Amino acid sequence: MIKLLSSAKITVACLFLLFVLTFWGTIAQVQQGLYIAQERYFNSFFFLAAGFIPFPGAQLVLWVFFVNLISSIILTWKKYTQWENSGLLIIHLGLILYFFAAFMIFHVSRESNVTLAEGEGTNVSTSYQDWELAYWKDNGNERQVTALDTRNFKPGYQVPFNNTDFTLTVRHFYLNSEAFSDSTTKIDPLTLNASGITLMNEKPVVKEKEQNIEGGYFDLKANHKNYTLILYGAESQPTPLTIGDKNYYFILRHTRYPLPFTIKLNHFKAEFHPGTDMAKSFESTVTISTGSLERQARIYMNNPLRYKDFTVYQASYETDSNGRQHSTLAVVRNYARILPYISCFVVFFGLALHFLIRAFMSRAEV
Amino acid sequence: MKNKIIFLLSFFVIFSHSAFSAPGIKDFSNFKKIPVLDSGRLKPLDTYARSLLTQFSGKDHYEKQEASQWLASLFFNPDSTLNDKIFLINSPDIAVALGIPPQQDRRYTPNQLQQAYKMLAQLQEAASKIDEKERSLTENEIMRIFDNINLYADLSRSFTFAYPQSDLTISSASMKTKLGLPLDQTQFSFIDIALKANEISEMTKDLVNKSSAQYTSDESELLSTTSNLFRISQEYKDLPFTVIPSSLNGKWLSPWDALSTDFSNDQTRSLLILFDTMAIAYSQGNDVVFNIAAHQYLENIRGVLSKDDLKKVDKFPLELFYQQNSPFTMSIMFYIFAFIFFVVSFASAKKLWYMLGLLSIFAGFIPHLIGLIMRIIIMARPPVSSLYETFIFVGLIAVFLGLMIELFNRQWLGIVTAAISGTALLFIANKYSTEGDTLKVLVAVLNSNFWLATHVTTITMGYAATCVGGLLGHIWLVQAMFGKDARSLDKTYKTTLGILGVALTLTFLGTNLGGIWADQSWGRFWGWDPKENGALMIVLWTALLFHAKVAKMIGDLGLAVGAVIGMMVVMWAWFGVNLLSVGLHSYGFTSGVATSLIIYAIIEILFLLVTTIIITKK
Repeated sequence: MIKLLSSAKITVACLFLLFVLTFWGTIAQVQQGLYIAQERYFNSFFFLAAGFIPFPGAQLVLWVFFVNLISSIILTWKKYTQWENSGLLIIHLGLILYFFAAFMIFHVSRESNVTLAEGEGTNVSTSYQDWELAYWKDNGNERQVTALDTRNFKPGYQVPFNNTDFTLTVRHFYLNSEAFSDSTTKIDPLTLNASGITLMNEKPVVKEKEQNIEGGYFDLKANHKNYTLILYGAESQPTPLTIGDKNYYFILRHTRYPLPFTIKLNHFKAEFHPGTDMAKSFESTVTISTGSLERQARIYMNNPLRYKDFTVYQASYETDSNGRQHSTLAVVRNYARILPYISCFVVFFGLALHFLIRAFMSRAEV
Repeated sequence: MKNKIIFLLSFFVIFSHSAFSAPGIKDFSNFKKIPVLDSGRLKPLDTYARSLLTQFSGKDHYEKQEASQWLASLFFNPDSTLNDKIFLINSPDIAVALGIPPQQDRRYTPNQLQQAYKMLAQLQEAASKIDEKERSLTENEIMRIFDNINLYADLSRSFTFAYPQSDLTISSASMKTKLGLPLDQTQFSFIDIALKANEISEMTKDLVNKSSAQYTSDESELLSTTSNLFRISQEYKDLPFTVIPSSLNGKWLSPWDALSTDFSNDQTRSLLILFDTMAIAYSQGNDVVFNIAAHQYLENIRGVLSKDDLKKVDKFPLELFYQQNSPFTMSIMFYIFAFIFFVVSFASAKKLWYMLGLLSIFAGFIPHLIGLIMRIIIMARPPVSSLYETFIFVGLIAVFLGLMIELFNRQWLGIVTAAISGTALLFIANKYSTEGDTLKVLVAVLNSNFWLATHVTTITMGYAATCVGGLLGHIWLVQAMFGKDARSLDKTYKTTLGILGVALTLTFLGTNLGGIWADQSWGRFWGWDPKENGALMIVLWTALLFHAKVAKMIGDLGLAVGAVIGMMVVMWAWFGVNLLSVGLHSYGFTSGVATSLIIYAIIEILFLLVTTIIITKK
């Protein structure tokens, strides 16, 4: 069994499949965009080629590759311990570490962003493409927000909020939608929306996933009534509802992640090459405060800010209609960011060693 | 915009009869060094002129004139360039559409394009409405020609402030004496009058109290001349040739803009007067005065430049040396010689030819290396930031690898590899240099010398090694097809294997350094970006070859074929992915190479089929 798994033919097959998938996944980006291509070709175990032929996705191939790698090291351990193969041993052990690094990064890192105007600060970051349904109760100054990912939302799904005052059930949910407010329709007192939206249509999901705006109709049971709650992702205001003597607020928004620090943008600067509109550099000066500590930092291209597992990068900027500049900073939480660094240098060292040994051996033969 | 050309024409009509004699300026060495701000970079006028002419005509000189000499005639005697064949129109169809008889050499004169201007403007307007990505080659060409003729017209007006003009007439001798203007002239230039601004305002001060009916004819002539000044300065706003930094905000201005916004500044005024002197000296053919003025200009401009700019100006002599000697052309020549010696060695297998071949490679390698080092010094960054530069760099590494191979195996193998890769890559680089100035400033994301020096150089060295491996694969196939002895074949095979090892190591490292850079600046190690994927494909393919060899799935023939395919993968990664126009590596995007890439792939596949069939039949 292990002999079969360790076959070099499997290695070749895996490399070939990865080669094909990489090519295919690159071409597909033109039509489908990066996100969909990535999901279909790289993150999947299987996908259907031309609509009906099952084809292994990169994730499956990589798992097979990993098993093949481990078993071939075990089976041919003797070969690896000969000194002239020490380079090969290092390469393949490095690759195991590499697989581990890839696994970690794929499963535990998280990307989000913070957009700030000069003078603004925040302690939450916003996801680029994930959405959440959040509610909170008016409670003096404190605000206890409860939020749930919209990933499982489908018609008939009861949102598990565990609140005795109301139950919320999904009636329709759209991954991309558009909203209309029709002033001619009489407003139904049982239909709730803060922005005056009366109608929502489903739109096809676009390939740039961050451009999709989720929205949906919900059945809200509270006060012994059946309300229709309309929530649309682009709304800036939450929809309020008084239940008993408490004021509740509901909103559908990009998923927010709490940060262990507050980040405030002091100054943003964009420099251009003289006489052109070609950017030379962008730079944000920020203040990071964590409880009692406060420090200033400059974030610019190739110079991110690091704090524990968090890394903050200069991503983009825009100028609003008032001429105020907003800087967008990418916030990445990554527990394993150092792993690929180590493994790639291990593998490189192994490769260099192996080919040097081979070069000297062939020189000796001559 | 549209009446510019019409104006240009009327302007030339006036001056075709004026006092310009045949230009007698021979020495442009000072003129060449005048700093010009163009495409975000401060460069010597010589480089500006070369890239301008290249952009117009595809060549960096015009007939026997050097680019800067030609530019001087455009500036100081625009009339004389009207019949120069400087506009390259690749497609004869466009020429026909413009009502111009197509020429064999595909080059047309400003006169011809002016006559067709109306038609050209219509065509360009239609083309500009089409989305950039959807435009055809012809439509892009129309846009290019239209921009070029407008640029030509704009540039021809850069120094018109130094020419006498009919709407700046002062005929009264007493007026001229009062103003200190020469008596033998009745028409004056803009700058002549502008320099007398104080005296004129003194003289016209009292006229306010008079009604226009009471003016003497001299007075009304003076008034109309002064009121023409403002109108004229407005007509010449925002011209593209920016040479003088404003004393107000440091923004670089064209001579006309400096004249109308910054003339009160002493330093700016002195520079403009020197330009005036140059223009007059040029029209009189006075070489000495022209050069003294140009030299003085170079001295004076130093006084207004910032410290950083001065550092750049100090590198101008090196840049001129680089531009004048075109080291890479020299390299190509020697690489071709090396190949010729190889061919000759078939006829007479003398040691002499071998030595000559090896020597030629060295002789080509040295200017290649020096040229690259000069670029590094001029731009103060690693030489790998545009496709042009990567071709030069990959060529250098490929030739270096060839020399290394020759050290191990003294039987032409390395020389041939070096000669072919050097010639081919420099030749392709040459094609890319027609886009204009190849010394370009960097976009923000690339503006990091450390990562350019590590990631980009490593990955391009990986490209070079993979290409050399592919070339050796070709050589093995050709040798096997012609039934070379087993020993030679084995030698080529082993060398291929070794080079592929180098290739795998370098592409692996380069790809991962790219990952680290991406992690540092974009926050993710890997994002399946097309360029990243391309590099990964090279790594996967080369690793596949080694494993297939170990698994005995392929033999010598398989490896040679695989190496050749590896080279095709490099071509895909190098510029094929840029054709997709998606992803983050958008700085390297190109157009028009799709066809050549497809032709290359077809030829390569045919070559593989033919050689494999012949070899397996044997």
